[in-house]
Amino acid sequence: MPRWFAWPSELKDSGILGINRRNLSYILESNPRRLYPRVDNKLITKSICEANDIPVPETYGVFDKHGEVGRFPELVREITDFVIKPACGAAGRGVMVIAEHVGDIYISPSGRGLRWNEVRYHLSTIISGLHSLGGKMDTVIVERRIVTHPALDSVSVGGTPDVRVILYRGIPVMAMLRLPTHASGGRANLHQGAIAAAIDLSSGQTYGGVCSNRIVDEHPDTHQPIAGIELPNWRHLLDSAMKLSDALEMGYIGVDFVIDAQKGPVVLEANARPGLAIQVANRVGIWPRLERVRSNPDHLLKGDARWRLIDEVANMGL
Amino acid sequence: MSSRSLSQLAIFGLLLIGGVGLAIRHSGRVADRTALEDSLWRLTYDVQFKATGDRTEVRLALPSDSDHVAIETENSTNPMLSERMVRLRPSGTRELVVSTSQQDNYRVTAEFVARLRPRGGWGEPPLQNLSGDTEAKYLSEERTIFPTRNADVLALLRRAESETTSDGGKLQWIFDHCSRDLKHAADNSNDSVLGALRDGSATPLGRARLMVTLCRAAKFPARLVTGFELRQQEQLQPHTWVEVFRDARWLPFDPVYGHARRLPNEFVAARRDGEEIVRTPKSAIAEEIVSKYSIVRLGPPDSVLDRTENHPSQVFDLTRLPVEMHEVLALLLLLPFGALITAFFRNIVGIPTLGTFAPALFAVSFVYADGTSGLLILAVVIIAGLAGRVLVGRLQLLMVPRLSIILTTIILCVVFSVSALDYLNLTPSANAVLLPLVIVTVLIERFYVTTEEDGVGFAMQLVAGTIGVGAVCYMVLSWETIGHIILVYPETHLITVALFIAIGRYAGYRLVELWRFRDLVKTD
Repeated sequence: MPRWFAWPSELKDSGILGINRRNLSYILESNPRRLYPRVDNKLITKSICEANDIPVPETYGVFDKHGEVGRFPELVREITDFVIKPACGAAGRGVMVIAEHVGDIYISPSGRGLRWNEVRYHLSTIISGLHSLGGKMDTVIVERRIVTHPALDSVSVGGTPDVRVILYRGIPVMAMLRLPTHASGGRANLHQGAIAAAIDLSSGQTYGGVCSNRIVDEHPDTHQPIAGIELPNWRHLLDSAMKLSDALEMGYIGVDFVIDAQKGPVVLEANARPGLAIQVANRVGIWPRLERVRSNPDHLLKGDARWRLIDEVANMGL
Repeated sequence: MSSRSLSQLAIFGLLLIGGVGLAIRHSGRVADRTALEDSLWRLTYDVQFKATGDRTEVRLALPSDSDHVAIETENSTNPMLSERMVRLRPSGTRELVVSTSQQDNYRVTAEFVARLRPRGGWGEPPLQNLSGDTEAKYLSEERTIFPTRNADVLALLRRAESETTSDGGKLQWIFDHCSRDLKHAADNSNDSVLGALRDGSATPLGRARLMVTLCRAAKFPARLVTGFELRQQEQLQPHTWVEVFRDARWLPFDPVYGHARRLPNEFVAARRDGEEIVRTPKSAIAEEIVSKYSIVRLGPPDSVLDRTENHPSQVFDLTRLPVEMHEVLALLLLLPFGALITAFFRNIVGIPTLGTFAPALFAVSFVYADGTSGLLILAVVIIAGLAGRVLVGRLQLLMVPRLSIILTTIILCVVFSVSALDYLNLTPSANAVLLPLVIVTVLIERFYVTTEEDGVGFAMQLVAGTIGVGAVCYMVLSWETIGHIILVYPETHLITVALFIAIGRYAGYRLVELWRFRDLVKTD
């Protein structure tokens, strides 16, 4: 019989982390407020990544004044495809992908043509802070458009799949693959109808699959199976995530990757308040894993001991 | 100290300070009110008598406490006379016994201050049943005063029994007969029961005596009570009424004024089981007794009357401010409750809203404006604002000018809707323009952007959450009693802050998470 709710004790016994406890026990305790700009501003995140040899999409240009916007056509003259995004946008807001451009017309991957003045308006709204947290003045980043790795081609529709890894004290504790669908408008946001699949931390293989809380086995648009996808360069991805987590000095973060056909996993952004939907995608609570990591002394959270701990938490709750 | 124990300490401290503050203010208010509403009465006995024998004694019945009257001071200074206090059994009457062995003219004065509390009083506690002796005493015949076995009395009682069967009915019949059926007799006429029965009219004392006689004949223990009615009088006549023992209580009946089972608060009993305040025993008889009684109303203490004088502590008394400010202050003080409701819905229930304090601010502005015109104007504003946003969106303007255009549109709409409503004689409250217009502007922008970026569904979810939480806020905030109470007891907000801390440290699941994660429960 379908249930309408679970008792708090049942959720607790199943190790489900609620948003209040996430905020009080993990985010408030582990993420000092003064470090937030490192993740809230993608330019800073990017420079930290570059300083630590963590792959990120190549930056073509940056605009932070309305007066500079006029230089944009010149900047992209030689570049076929690129992505425009706000440095301080959240949840993929304000991101514009251009697949090609001819003269004054910029064409999105779905084939929609935009005039230069529409693109310029978009750049201006980003700078005036429409998409930024708190409406502050923002910066436009123009960067390389990721070409999705062939391993994910069968399940990529209208957008780029991304991998979310949650790390606590530098240890990856849970991961998922988010797949855009037609219903989600090409965005990888779960509450807009994107699909999520759990990733086995040890092997980098997907399993399960969930769409708006319902179990799904295949992509609704391509009808390809979601489970059993082997993510390329998985160990490398985890390694990048751990390096970034160390460099950010934040205890509880989510790191979002996309997997480029040439460069492999590259960091898109980091998040100091990663959501809890990853538990739904994994169909398992994250809490026992976090507590397992918490119980470890600091020296066990470095070097090879990390990989042993990852293998250990990977199977917790399953 | 960890943040958790610090929070617990803060909650405890705030609750303690808030509770103590509330208790102090409340008791202070009650004390002030009782000091102003209670009245103090000075009752003076002035008794003159002539001692002719070797031993002379007069006995003064003293006023007694009841649930509404407290005798605060008693004074009698009569240096020539020896005085002692006795309490009579079983009536409980207190007597001041004044005696002398020298022949002379004497004067006894006694003064009492009685506090009359109009509010107090839970009624007298039930007594045990009367002992056999006592019951017999209050049923007994006193041939000259209570001729219970007189044929006329018994005939009257049979009439009562023929009309009603129950004891309660019989008692009511007796009371009705003594208070209503008898005509008023001149003050100097016969006080006796038989005289009253013969003439069909009675003096006040005659009525009371007849009632006691009939009650005793009907086997209801009964007695006369003599006392005073507290009101300003220079020359005061004691008043006599009746007490009947029913259901373990002495119930008062006043056949003269018609009070039954409960006397007005200002009646003070002095002598129970008797019709005189001053009596003299046959064994030591005093002659030419002249007793005078007077009552003076005293004012409340100066400390209470001076309460309205300037004093720095008045800063904490918001009710002292001009009445026109009360509504605004009350609304301001209500806002934290709105925030509390919002915090509860967001952090414990888990309902997201557009803007953190928007629901509370909307609720407050609706309380201040009147509901209908507020809703009407808000509807106009939202429709105009959204339409304006769609149109302005095509112009592709930068954010601040774009928001300013929407704000201007909204303000024009508000102003002209007020004017239009007035033209239609719907006379909107002028306060309707106090809608948080800037917040409305930002909310419209947020709503618009949310629909574009997160889809209409999610935006509608936020709108529904905002409306729901706002409605709950409105229901609480529009409750006038709460506004009044918070104005009188603003320290309540210390408790509110304690609740905020408690919500802020709540690490349990939100209610919506019980639904969201329901499928993740492991079943073994």
